[in-house]
Amino acid sequence: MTVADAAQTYDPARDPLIIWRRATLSGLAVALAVAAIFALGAGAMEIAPLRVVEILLQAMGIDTGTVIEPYEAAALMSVRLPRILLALACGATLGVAGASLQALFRNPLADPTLVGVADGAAVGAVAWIVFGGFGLAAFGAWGIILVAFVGGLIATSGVMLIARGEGRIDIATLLLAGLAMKALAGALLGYLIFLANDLQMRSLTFWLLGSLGGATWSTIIPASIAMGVSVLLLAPLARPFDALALGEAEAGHLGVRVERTKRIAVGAVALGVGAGTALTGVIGFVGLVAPHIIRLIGGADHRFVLPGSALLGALLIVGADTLARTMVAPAELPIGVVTSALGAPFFFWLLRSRGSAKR
Amino acid sequence: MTLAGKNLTVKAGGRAILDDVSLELAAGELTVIVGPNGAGKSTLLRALSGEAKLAAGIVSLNGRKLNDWNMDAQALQRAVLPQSPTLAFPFRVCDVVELGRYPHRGLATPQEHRAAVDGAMAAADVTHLALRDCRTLSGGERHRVHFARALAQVWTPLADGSTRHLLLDEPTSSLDLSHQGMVLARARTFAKEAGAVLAILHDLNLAAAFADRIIVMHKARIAAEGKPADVLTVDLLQKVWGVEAKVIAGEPLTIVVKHTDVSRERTNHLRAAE
Repeated sequence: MTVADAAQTYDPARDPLIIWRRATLSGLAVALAVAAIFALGAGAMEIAPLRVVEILLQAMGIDTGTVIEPYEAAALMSVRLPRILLALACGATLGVAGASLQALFRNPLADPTLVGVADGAAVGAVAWIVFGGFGLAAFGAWGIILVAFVGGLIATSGVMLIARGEGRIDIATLLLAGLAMKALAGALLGYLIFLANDLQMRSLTFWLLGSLGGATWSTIIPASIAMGVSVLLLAPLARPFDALALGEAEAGHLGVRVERTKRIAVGAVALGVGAGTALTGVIGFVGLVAPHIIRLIGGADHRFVLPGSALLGALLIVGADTLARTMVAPAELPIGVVTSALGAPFFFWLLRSRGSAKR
Repeated sequence: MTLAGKNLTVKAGGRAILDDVSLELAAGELTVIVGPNGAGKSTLLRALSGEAKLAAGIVSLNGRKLNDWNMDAQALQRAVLPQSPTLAFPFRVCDVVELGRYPHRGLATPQEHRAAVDGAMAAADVTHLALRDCRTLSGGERHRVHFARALAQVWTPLADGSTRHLLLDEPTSSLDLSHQGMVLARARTFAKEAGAVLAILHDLNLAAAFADRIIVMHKARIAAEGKPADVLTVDLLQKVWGVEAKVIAGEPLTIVVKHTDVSRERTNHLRAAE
């Protein structure tokens, strides 16, 4: 118990957990780069990974000395690349959004679909499709992102408002309000689908199950900006999120402006998930699973959990999208079907292991 | 100048659970609040920390109204140890203690942070647990970790030298005998060196041994306050707790409560009646 003993216990440079976390993040980044290159090559027209790299390098103006067929480059640059970039952006955003909501609600079972963000955004986006862009179709991708963001924000604010008692947000009420909001969003979606004509119906069904197929350069740029802003707003909240693990009152005693943190986090999550949902539909479970696996690997510090969840979320979406594209080729499965088929069993396992941890 | 509350009233369900209570912590002193369950001890502490919504009254911290300080400035001047600390995610002990340094971010060097964390862990006797997952510890060990976190928060003197405060809600309730004394001795040392400490205790012998001043809460008000020997009398114990006790003068004061098992008495009566 002397000071000398104490000095031995903590040296960040030699802290095995911090070294392990850095290794994990580096490993994930490498795995993600490799997965993205393989994903770019996979599909109806196979392109070898090395060739993918060559095409990318040449597109950046670096001459690799090989001849690239124009149709190959075109397929890669104008079809697959925007799709993979959207997968990366959506995955990272869902991972960070999930980790943020779990931190905010101090509950490892929280997820963007839980507080109505994704469903509210879906209602907004579906309404946009059914009503033909409210006569604002000229706004293109920005319009649908805005509508989805507003839908997500309305749903989440409604949930937060109901859960707010005496100036503080009660988590149990919030989870129940989220369920009610999900039901309400479901009813609205059902009504909109009822209104839709056959043509809209086809794109709606596919969209509701989730798909990255709609990615083009003109749609992913506005969506990526919105998702980037969302992640940039959430990243500085890592330490406040850590403090929130102690409880809201305790975080306040540590100097965290709790209500402000909540407002920023919920707004940022609505923006990011709204933008993602607008383009891809509802993709479930990634926001739940990614932070959970990351915490199992390297602990709960959000300076690790946020970047880790971003990388793993992106890896999961890229992987799921590649599966969706190749499993039943030349047809394509909706990605939401893949993530839910893999995520739901994980969720069951999570619930069971939590149950046994409580004894 | 320290932490002070004037005419504090807190209401819950239309009833005053803290009724017009005023007190000022004395610099250099460990002030102990005692009292029966539901007497308003925790409510008083929560009122002083700004956590409880006041129906009336003013809390001031180092000469300024509590709300005139921003959250960070408050956190630099006062740490709070809750009655039952919780942790939602698997953090290590050293990481939990490090959270106490949150209000100091940008104000201290990494070496200063580490010195505070190491010192606080040693003071709370949790150094040997530093790399353990906090959620795998026993209740008492966990409580000491959070005590270390509170210590780390107010470990270093402030730039303007103003008083630092520790508010401890039942810091010893889940600790073993030796650690009870250790934590209170540490709290008292902190008061002597750096500021003022307010602790809620149930064990009157611990209170008598470590308190510079005792405040007895009863029915949402202060029933008595002063030096342990002046306050803890046979009459007061009878009036506030309804117990029959013997108070043995000395240093420290010793209180022996005569516990009677009512159920056994009743059986004896029945036997006698037969």
